[in-house]
Amino acid sequence: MIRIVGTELRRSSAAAVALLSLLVATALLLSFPQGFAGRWMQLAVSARMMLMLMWPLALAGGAWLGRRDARSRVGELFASTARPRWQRVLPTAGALAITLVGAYVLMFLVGAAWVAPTARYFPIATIAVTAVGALSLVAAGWLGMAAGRAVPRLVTAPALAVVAVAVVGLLPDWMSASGLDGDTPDPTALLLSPVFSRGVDDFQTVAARVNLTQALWLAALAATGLLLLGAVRRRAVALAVLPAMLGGAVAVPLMPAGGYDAAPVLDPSAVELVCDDDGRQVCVTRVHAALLPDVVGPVRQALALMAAKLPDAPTRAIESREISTFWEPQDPVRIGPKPPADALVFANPLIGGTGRADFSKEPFLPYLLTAAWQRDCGDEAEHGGDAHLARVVAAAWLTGQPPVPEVWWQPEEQARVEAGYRALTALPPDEQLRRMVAARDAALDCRTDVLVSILPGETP
Amino acid sequence: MRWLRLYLRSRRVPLALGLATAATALVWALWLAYSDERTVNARLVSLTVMLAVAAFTPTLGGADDALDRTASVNWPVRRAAHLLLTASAITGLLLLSTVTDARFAPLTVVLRDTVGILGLTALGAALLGPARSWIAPLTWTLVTILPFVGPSTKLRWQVAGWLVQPAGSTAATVFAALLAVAGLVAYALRGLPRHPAVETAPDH
Repeated sequence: MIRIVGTELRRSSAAAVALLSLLVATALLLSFPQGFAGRWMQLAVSARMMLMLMWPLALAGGAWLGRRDARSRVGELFASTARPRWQRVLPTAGALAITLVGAYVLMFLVGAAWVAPTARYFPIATIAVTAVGALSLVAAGWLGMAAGRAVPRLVTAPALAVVAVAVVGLLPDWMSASGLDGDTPDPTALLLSPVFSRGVDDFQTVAARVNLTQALWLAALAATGLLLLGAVRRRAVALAVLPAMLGGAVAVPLMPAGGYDAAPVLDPSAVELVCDDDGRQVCVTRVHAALLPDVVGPVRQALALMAAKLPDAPTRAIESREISTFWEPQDPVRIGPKPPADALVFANPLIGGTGRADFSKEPFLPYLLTAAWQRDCGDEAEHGGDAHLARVVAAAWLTGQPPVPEVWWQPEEQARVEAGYRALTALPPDEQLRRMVAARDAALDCRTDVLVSILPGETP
Repeated sequence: MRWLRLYLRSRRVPLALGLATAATALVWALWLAYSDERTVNARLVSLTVMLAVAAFTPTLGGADDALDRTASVNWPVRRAAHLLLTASAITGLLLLSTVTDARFAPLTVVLRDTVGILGLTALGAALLGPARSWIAPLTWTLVTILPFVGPSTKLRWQVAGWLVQPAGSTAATVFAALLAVAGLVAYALRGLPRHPAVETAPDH
């Protein structure tokens, strides 16, 4: 048996199928390393997104392999041997499973080269998420083999791949997008698709319940594929469908309600703080610990600038622990209690392709200065864009330099910022300080109205 | 006429036409039933074209490769004509939908995708044989329909995602034309790779 598996690995198209999906998926994964660099869970979830490509390819490859007997016209010959069919198909199916799992794991390991050097936090759930992804490929490969055997045509493989794209990738997206406008949660059964088309936040992990139920369902699906492949009689074919039906019937009620929105849950250990006490204390979350050496410099510089101008200036800095979800980006959720009043709360900088901070797209210090008038307020209302513009004026006041316009500002926004800055600096110094301190006190209480009042009205 | 009839039958063209029609009709019916828009999504157009071309892929080869090389027949011209007629058949099939409420449009996109994918398939057939020539078009189409590949201003992504670029994209059109010409030249001049007298069943 092992010897035959070895022969199949060397001589059949199983290795070629896996190699093709490995190459294409790895190239795509590495086309955007910023998405996962330095974070294991993001890598695991990105790999699951690549299933959108690997799943159809595995199905098509399986169909190609399943067509082999018919193409070589050996069906009758093999049917005449005194051995059960499953004994003959098992090594081929095993070889395909080995190569497909190998391709998925290899892709993960290649991606790990962008994660391992900088990551300080390894959530165990990463392994579970990856294992479910690998298992789903086995299910795809075996189902494809069964389909290729049942319909040994050339067009079977591409047609199957297209159906897979539609069912695994497009249908769930379409169904959840059509539910976006209303308040109805997505159907639970969406989680039957192994593709994570929505990411998770850095502070989140995939719920264990989701991993377990998906593993159960995909194992049942793989069993159905294998049984269909080994089936000879009608009754065996009918019985082969049972595992998938049972698996689906058991898994769907056990899955959390709400489709993709329910899969990510907060990871408390990811948001534990890692601090640098060498000077003014600067803390970041554990999952962003690799950014600490990069942010310490600008953050201490910002703290020093604030200390020079503001009474009661923040004495330490803590990374913001808000999660803005994909479906409600304007409505972030704060984790844990309100941060202490003496701390500056800042969001992490962009993460570059190497897992270190990337300040080239978005300068960090100007942002940090605005953060003195900002707080993790969760879903408490903010004056939207106005509050941001007012913060820019405030930060300009801190440095004593006129505000630097952002490329994405509208001309009238820029005019308001400049007018606000001129009006503020025209006041006597004591009055300037009084207004900025009042604005800061209000902002620490999650009120931005005082801050916004330094801007001229909507029509200057 | 008799030659043509026999040729079409030997290449199993009626079956291919039936499969391509069925795939197109299925996509068309689904779009008609479930979408409010009249023009079929660009990703779906490329998938449909790829499926239709895949249905025609087995017609690129006959039951025995050696028969297609007999000297008394001008095979390069016939092979080129085969490709051109296939392209027009698929385009015509998709364009039938323009009179309905679910249209495969615009014409330039349908034409570009069809000749590009068919060219890629023909190139694959000339290099690897028709049995494996569906792999490259399928893989490329799967990559292009991913959510983060779409209309782009960067040349690199315009070429990689040539199937889903908007109608006026020069890079995508030029690239599709290149694929078409390469496939046409390779398949017409070289034909299929020569396999020893076949043990395998003809692909269908």
